[in-house]
Amino acid sequence: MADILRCNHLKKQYGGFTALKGINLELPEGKVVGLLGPNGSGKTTLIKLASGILLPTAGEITINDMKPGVETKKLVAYLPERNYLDLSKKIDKQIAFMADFYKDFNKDRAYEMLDRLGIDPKRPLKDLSKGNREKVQLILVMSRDAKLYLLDEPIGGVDPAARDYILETIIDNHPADSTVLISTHLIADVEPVLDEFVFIREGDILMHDSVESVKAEGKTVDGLFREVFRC
Amino acid sequence: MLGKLTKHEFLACGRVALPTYIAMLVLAAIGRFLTWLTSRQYLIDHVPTTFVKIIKVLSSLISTVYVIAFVALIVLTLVFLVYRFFKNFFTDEGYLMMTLPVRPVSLITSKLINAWVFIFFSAIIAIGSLYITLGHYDQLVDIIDRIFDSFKDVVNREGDFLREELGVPLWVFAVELVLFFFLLISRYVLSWYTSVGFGMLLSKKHKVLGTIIAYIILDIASYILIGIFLAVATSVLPNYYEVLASSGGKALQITVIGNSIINLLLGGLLFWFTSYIMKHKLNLD
Repeated sequence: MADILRCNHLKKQYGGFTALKGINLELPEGKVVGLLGPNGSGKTTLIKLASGILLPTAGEITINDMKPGVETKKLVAYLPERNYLDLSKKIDKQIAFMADFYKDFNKDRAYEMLDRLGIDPKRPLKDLSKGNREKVQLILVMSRDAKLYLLDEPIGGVDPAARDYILETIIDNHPADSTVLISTHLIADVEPVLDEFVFIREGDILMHDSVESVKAEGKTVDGLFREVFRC
Repeated sequence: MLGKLTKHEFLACGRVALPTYIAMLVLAAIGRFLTWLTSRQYLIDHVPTTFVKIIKVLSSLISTVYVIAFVALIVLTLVFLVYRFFKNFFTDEGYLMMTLPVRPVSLITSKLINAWVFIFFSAIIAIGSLYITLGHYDQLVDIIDRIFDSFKDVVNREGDFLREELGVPLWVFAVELVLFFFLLISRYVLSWYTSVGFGMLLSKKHKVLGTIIAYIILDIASYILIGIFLAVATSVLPNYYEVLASSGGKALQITVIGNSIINLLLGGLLFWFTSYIMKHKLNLD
């Protein structure tokens, strides 16, 4: 199985602070991978580097064997932690915007998901609750048939029912051959949907393994995380 | 992709600009109507004095609001364009805009195209509203005719002389003037775009202050570059200052062309610098 994402001695520094310390990582196609680590461990930096909005200080990161740029951005669907949408825009205009720029954007799927949530696409985003705005952002990302989904803390700061909706939406909508990278520190919630996991701490990759092999040892990823990251 | 970016930017700007333009024209029309009303002798003679006074106060108030709106339209057009540049690329919206499959060059170009369009529209609305406020409708056609006639007269009588003075046909000079204003506006808008990007590098906490400091630094830098350009120009054209001091058509030519070249070079430099910051130095919160 080919790798969709590769990091080769990838390093990122902000001034004097080293966010990633020369990591090596390969993520295969068709997997749901958890990028797991405490706050400040380098998860967001790695995702920003993969999305192409940050450049590495040293080393290399490739998506489908290409350095991040216009071509990789066509393959990557990115959900940042922040609210990145223009709140004054109506949802249907935002959908038209996404469809204009991404050939793989499926408008019907977007409207279907909105309909299921009972959100009127004619409403501007500013009229929605914080929770629904986050769901709309997720819908826009998951309406694409991307090769790689980069989801930065998609279940952080939401109630358990919303977490279930978000995880279901991710699992139901990503194409089988695509890879989903979910960054989070809420291990127990995300564990049931993962194929693989990556533990990251202070800019270093501590472990990269399949969930199956952890289960074979009679453990859980959540339990292993608690062991590895014990304070 | 540039076309799509420009279209979406045009629609987004239009959502704010269109109501502003309509409000401006309505304000001008109301002001004009109240001024006309208060100058009617029939009204003064037949309605209570208090009512006439109220109308006059209202008329003065509308005129004051109009003058403020007129100045605001000119200033706020630029502020709005710069604010959109900042908001789209250097706030959380940057997570969307900077992950679109387009190059930073296209992003900046689409903003620049819209800046030209909306500066042009704002100028038209400002002139139009001024005409509604002050102009005489029946004389409009007459004024336009007279302007064209006087142009024709000057060209007929002085055409040969002007051609000789300028060293180029008049239409060439007209094109030069259009280019001059186009490049001047581009450089001015780009200097603010660059300041926004540069300002983010200077201070992530105080973004507005960073932008203003960056603008001052860039302004000083551009004067140094203009100085270098003049030094080069005078070495290439030893009689540069003599020609300039002659105040003739050639001096005008040299000023227009010289400034256009300076604005083109500085504009190009600012464009490249902005693109470099967005590609290599972007660090969103």
